[in-house]
Amino acid sequence: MGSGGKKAKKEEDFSFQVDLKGIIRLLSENLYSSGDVFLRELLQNAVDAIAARRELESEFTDGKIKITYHGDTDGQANLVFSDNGIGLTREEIHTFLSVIGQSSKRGKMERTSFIGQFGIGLLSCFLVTDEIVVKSRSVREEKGWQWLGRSDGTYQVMADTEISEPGTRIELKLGRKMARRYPEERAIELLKEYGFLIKVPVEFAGDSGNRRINDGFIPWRQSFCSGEEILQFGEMMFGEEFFGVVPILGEGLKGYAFISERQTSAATMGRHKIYLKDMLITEDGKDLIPKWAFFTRCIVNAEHLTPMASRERFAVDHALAKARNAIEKCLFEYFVNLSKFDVNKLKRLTIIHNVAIKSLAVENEQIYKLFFPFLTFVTNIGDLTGLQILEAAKRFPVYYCAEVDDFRRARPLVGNARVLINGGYIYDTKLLQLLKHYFQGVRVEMFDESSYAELLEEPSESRRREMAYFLSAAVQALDKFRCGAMLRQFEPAEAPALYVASADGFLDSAFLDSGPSGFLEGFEFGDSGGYGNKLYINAANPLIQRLARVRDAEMMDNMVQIVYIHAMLAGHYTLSERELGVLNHGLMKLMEYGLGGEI
Amino acid sequence: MILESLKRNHVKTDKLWEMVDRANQLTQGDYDSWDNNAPALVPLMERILVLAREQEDWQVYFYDMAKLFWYIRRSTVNNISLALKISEMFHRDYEQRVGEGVGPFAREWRVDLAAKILGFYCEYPQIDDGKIARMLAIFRECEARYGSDWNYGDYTEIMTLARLNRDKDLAREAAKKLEKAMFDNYCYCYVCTYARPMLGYHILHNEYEETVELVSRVCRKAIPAKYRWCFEKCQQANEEDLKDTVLMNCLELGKSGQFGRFFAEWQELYRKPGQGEADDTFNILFRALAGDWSQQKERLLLAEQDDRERREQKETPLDSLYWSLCWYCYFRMMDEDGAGNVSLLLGGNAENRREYSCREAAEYFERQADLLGAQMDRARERFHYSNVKKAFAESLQYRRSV
Repeated sequence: MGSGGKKAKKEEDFSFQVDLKGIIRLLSENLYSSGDVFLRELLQNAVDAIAARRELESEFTDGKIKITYHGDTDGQANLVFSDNGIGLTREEIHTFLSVIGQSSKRGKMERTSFIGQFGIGLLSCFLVTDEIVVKSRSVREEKGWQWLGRSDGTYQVMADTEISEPGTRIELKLGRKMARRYPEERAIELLKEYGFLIKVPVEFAGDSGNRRINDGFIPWRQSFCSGEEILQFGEMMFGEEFFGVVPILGEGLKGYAFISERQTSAATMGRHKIYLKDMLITEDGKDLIPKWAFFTRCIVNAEHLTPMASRERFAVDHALAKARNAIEKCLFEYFVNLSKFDVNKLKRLTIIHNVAIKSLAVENEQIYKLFFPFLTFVTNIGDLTGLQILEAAKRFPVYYCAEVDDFRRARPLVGNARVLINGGYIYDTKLLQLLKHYFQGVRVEMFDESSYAELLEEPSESRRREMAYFLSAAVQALDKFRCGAMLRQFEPAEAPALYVASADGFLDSAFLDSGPSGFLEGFEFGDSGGYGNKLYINAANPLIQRLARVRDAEMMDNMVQIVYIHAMLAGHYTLSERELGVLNHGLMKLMEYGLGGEI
Repeated sequence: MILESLKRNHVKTDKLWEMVDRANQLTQGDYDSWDNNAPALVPLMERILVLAREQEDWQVYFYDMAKLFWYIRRSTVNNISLALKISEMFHRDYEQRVGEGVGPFAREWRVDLAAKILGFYCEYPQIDDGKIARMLAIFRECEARYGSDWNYGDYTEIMTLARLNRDKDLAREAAKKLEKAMFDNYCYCYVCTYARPMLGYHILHNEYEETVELVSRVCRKAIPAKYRWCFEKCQQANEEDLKDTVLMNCLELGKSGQFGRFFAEWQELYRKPGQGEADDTFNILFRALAGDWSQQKERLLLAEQDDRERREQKETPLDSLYWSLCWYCYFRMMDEDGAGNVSLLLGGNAENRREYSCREAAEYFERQADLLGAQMDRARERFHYSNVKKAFAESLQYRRSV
């Protein structure tokens, strides 16, 4: 719009129209992840009110919260929360209970004393009822007031003569549906969960009798507590036995990280109990507990974190980062100390969580260096720890196979002369590849098809001469399988041959499967046909020595093919249709030879 | 990371993903570290091919195949036998799997592979004009079927073919596509996928000023901002490599006059005694022409290595041809300067090491070049080996007297 010219008319201000009922529903239904939180919000209001009174009256020390629950005969229930906290004046009732976004905890009082800051906590009660009655008498007034709020956004305030002492009483009527969802036992269970750490006594009176909600034993509040007692506390909180416990101490942080005795996965969620100023906020530790500490279950009470509006998560700010770092430091120092002073315990821990720790070690250098010495690996000479591998790799090259099948094939040939690790298990190859990045002067090499050539000994010159004809026949016989043939001698001498497939073997099959493309006519691929797949024929094997004396070309061809198939089977390779055909044909031929004469 | 376009949700199984992830971990650093990891990376990428084919994960299959092919063709890895096998796999599978593995990440790797295989074939006399035409047709078919603007960077290989065949029309077509790829940000690297092939184009068309301007632009780093990362990563993004490319193109295209003009202007650059490794045969020739005769021991070792790799077919015949011509010129210069004998291991096993006069060495390399040149002439009508050899020989007239 143009701005020039004189103003034709006085500008008007307008206000947004607010659908109060809709706003209330929106806030109460969408802010929280579950309806359960109304109990926490009521508990929090009571705790905050008592704290506020204590700030005003230093001599006030006997704050208490009482909750009553009584079921009606018609299936409904009455839930009443009472506290002897600061209470509300008439003016405060209008301001704080009836203006969304306003809270009695904002402004006058020291904000850090409370976790309720949004003035919307009471709205959560509309998740379970359509009507909230608040009866309150402020410590500053002689007279009490009653506020009746409805989910349609209307409210009434009237004088209340019943309430004689300072404090607040909140009455909720749970309809049948909500009374079924929140029966007395469930209410107790939730109150215990949320209010376990609350210092003010919380009494519960219900149809099943009276009880104290929060009389639990909190180890960090004791002047002395044994490790055994702390572990029992963890067991009670999480319902499982623990291997050890790490005290968590930091600025405004108290708690424990219990180390699980069960194998756990890094993806496990909802395993912790994170409190803010004694009130349970979340069981999801992803913002606060380092990802790598997934094998712990933590109970932490924080003082300085900022809750989000729903009070189910924390604001991501400097305080959160600081707390996270402090927890990480406690955990890390614990493991470092274990590595120095209680190696056996650390070893046991890595045995329990071997795979999980490996998954972290490949991602994190610190974890790698801390845990690698205690991780275990399968090798040709039994299970070895990372430390043993590290020591060996400083003295001579240590080899690993990237696949389990490779390990199985190479293991008998390697014997005990060198360390060969099975890197085929998840994360092992990655860990072994990282070894030389993190530790100086170590030699760790992958054992691949080219390593066989180095491992298997060349036969003597005279043996090679003796078997030259046989070798050239073998090269020819195997050409149709795109497999090279080489003469070597190796233990065990009973093995006539060793077949080693290279990944190139698959590429070689490109020539076989579909016929040549025609582009490669005129190319030469050298003596071994350029094939990646190799059959190492064992010159030390008596059968091969006899076979080398055969001069019947057809018989030689058959025998070499059988040796080839046998080596494939011994190496756990899968036979293709072509090879199965050769096997069948070869067996028939062998029978013919058996019946007709000697080799 | 070599397979960086692949995310977990692009890969069918955990096992395959673990291998892809491992390949990416091996290639997190700079290109030198990629090259150092070749012994682990090549078998791993081969295994990925095997598994991807078994699991019919065609997207991973063709992507891995294209990247593996590119990787093993790098001068530091250079596995020719594997490259030949992969080219056969491509022929087997590309058509049978029409429509498969055309994945969510836009680039179609079959076009890329067809182009790279064509570029690879160009360097072999076993691949004659007929086969080249067939492969070019396959590239065009792939491009029509799968390609898009994404694939215009693949015209780097078409430019190589155009240069070899001295085909100015094909070169113009390639230049247009490369220009577009560069403007549309589809060039992977400004230097490798734009500047270097375009230098070849300008030399083919005798465009002196355009060549100088392009070299100067890259040297001043006056290239589009989106490509400036090349100066951090690309191993070719430096003045000497670019000028090498120009001079090399002049000789390969038989343009000795142009060579003389550029060399007269740039020879100062080559006059400083060689530093680092003497591992680039063309660069050694240019340095010798400029009067730098340092690193003689290393240079003779490289001459032996070039000869050995020619015999063992570890380099392509075309590269071996050009390098033989470089050594022919090099030893001729030494001979002209009256240098004494050189101890060289040529043409066979260790017993063959002996003293050669520089003339004998020059003649040996000339013979090898002539053999390969004759093969190339038989296979490619427009190669004209005699022109190429003449340009190399004439380069000696531009040598700086010491």
